[in-house]
Amino acid sequence: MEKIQIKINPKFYKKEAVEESLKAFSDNFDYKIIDDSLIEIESEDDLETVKNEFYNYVLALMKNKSMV
Amino acid sequence: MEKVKIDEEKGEIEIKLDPKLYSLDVIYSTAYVFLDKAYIKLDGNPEQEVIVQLKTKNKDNTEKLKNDFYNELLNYAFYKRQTEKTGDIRKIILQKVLFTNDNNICEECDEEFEFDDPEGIATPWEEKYGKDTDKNKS
Repeated sequence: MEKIQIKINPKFYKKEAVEESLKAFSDNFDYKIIDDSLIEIESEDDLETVKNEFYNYVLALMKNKSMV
Repeated sequence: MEKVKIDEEKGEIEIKLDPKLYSLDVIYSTAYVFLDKAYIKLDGNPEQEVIVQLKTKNKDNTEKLKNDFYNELLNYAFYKRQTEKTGDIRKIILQKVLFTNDNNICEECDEEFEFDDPEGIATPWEEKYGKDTDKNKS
């Protein structure tokens, strides 16, 4: 399995949304929260696609929950 | 400073936006519209410069995606401006609708909406004919 780091800017992405998204994606990848703005993910799927889908998912979640 | 970077091969676009021109709300709203067409990542500083990274999902025309994004930004910026402009009048209309029978709650609304009523149409039925009109008749 390959690893990749996802940089999340906390000024744009709400912490709660990121945490909920990580739970939702737990079937797709294993993750380790390094700090507030860095997450390491490990997956058998194409990591670039997973990463991009994750960014979109967090943004969509923030919209649905009216966090912004 | 270059504000837009396009990588046609990868289908990636990086747009740097001035938050004084396009507020964060406008940028978020625009980003949501493009969630199905592109992968979107937000970065930068909300007070100084917002960096929007777009990556096409289906290797679509990146130039078109960029132009559409700018159009949508303008669209939402205009919408926000209009919403702010008409905010007070919407508030007054809503108050008038919700509290139309209770003048004490919305005195401000009545001041704003004073009008002539020579036929007495606006006078409530009870005030005009008394509460027990039907009973009095029978």
